[in-house]
Amino acid sequence: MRKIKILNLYGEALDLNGDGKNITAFEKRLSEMGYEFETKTLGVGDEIELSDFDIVFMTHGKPHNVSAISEHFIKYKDNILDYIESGKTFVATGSSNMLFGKSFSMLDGKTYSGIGLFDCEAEEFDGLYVSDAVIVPEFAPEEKMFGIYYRCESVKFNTPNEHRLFKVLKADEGKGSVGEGEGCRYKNLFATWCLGPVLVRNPLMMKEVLHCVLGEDYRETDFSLEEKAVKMTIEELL
Amino acid sequence: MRLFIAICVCRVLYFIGRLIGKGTAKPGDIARIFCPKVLNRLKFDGKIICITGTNGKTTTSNMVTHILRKNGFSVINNSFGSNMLGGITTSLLTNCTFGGRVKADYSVLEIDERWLRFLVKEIKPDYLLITNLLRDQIVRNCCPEIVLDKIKMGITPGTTLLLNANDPVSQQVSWGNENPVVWFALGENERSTKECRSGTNDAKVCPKCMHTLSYDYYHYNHVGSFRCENCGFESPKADFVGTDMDFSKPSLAVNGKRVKLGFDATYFMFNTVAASAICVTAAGMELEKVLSFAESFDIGVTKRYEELTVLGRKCQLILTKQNPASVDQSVDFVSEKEGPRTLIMISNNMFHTEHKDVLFMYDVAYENLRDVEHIIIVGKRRYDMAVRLKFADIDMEKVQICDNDGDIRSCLEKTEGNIYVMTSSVFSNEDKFLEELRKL
Repeated sequence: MRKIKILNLYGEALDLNGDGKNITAFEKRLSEMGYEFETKTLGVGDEIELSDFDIVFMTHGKPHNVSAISEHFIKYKDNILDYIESGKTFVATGSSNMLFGKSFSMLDGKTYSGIGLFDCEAEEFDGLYVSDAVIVPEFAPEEKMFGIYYRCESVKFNTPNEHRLFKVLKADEGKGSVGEGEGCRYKNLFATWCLGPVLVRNPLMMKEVLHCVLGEDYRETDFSLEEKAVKMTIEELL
Repeated sequence: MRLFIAICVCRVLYFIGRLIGKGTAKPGDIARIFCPKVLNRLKFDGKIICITGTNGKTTTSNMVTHILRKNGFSVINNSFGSNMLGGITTSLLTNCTFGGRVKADYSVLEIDERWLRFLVKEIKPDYLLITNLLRDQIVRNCCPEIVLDKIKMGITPGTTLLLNANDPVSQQVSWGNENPVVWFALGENERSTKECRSGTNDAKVCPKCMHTLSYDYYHYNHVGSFRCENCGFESPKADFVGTDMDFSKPSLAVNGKRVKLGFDATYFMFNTVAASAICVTAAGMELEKVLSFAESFDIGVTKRYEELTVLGRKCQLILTKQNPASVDQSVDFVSEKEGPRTLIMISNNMFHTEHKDVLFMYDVAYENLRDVEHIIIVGKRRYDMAVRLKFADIDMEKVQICDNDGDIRSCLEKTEGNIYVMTSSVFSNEDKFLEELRKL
């Protein structure tokens, strides 16, 4: 059985609000399915070659840290785009999403470039948008997921988002709000401003990501506890 | 005239509030309507000391006040109420003359991290002490750097900063200004670890160059002795250092002078070093004298760790805030106790906002509970907590999910040993469950 290679990209700089536990949960599921795995963390002091990996995680980080790593990230733009175009799996949560748009600007007036995969721009504002949300994933339109959005950036798409990942069924309004749709799914890149343990709390998304990585080698494991927990939360919200 | 009216209104409202048991922020808030920027009009005879940070600011403020008063100084503080602008205004207007003169030798003001920048628009602190900057509830404070930015907006020229040399986040307050800095720190001790044992570490990378930050040891979270091999950023040499900690008979040495303490927690030792630093620096007291007064300070351990008898067994309530550092400390408290132990975890929505996010659970090292013999989970987010424990590799055979508060008796009857309850009753509405527990 093949060994699954996992990359936690900028895992030390982007490590906020439990997002890193998505990787722990992913590893645990692989173990339950009988797979071996190897996880590497790479940062600004490292050379990056994504083709070595089966899945890449990039998690939510402090605005300062996202802007500080952007120069290094852009340096590997071609490698990153090749990886995504090849259909390999990439999961980006929270503020790491800013790096996939055209640019993002911070409160101090500085603007940073993204890799331009999506036609959007982000802008930091002096405030916070916090909302629980019930979201419907495009890969399972009959089902519901729970998400938490927490950001001090507003995101503007210059052209309609053709790759929407979630339809937002319920979320609060306000500056920085997510609107009717959120996130991007392009091939096997899952990019969402949802943060925290998205995969841990949403078995639907965990299964989808596992399917992308394992294909026909996916094996069933027990998600009953997680399903009960997320169902309770969604019922409270609706 | 406006000042006089504001002082009168504040005092009358404060007096009425005391009679009916209401909070202390409102009188100050209302006084500010009559006289905006009222604090700007006060005349201070003594010095102003502000104390802020994520954890430990109340204890440190109270200890500083205790030491200064023991030494014969007159001190005003806001220990009885809110640490935002309204509460501070109430404290000062109820302790000044009708002409607005604050005669106290020292005004020791605990201030919420996010409110310092507003306070300094009206009064300039002579000294500002920052205990630490750790990850707090995200609905309040997002990440430490956001709070750091807000604190930096509140740094006024000439204010002496007292900063934690073990904290790579709060030490950034000294960047970009010429303010004098006094550093305090805690040395390596038997509880220090080579790897971070807490669930969060907000300084894995150097804040200057983003390369990996190396630690000689950790006290908790990102607080420890650190250095960056790439750019040389490191823990500064401290002016006040706590060493030779004895946790069995709580005591430590501050700059070589021994002090006995009423509590053995690492963070309390930090508070003691910080309080000593400010009393010596701001009041010119001799360190020996400061430490002798610190010995008689009562942190209120019995309130934080109230003991009950439940089903004939010893039961201890552990007050815990909904932030990772606080929960980590409670987890460590239970994991260090001798078994068999039964831990009751109350898992609810976020206080104040009722958000159903449980992100902070994933920033806590629940992995340290693996040896605890029995765990019972109650509260609205009990299944989310069960999922978290599952991913912390806790043996789920020993975890009970209590669906109704009334079922706690039957759950407890399946367990043994002392009972520990992680509760936030002073911060939230968990009293109903605790009432059930007290009946058993």
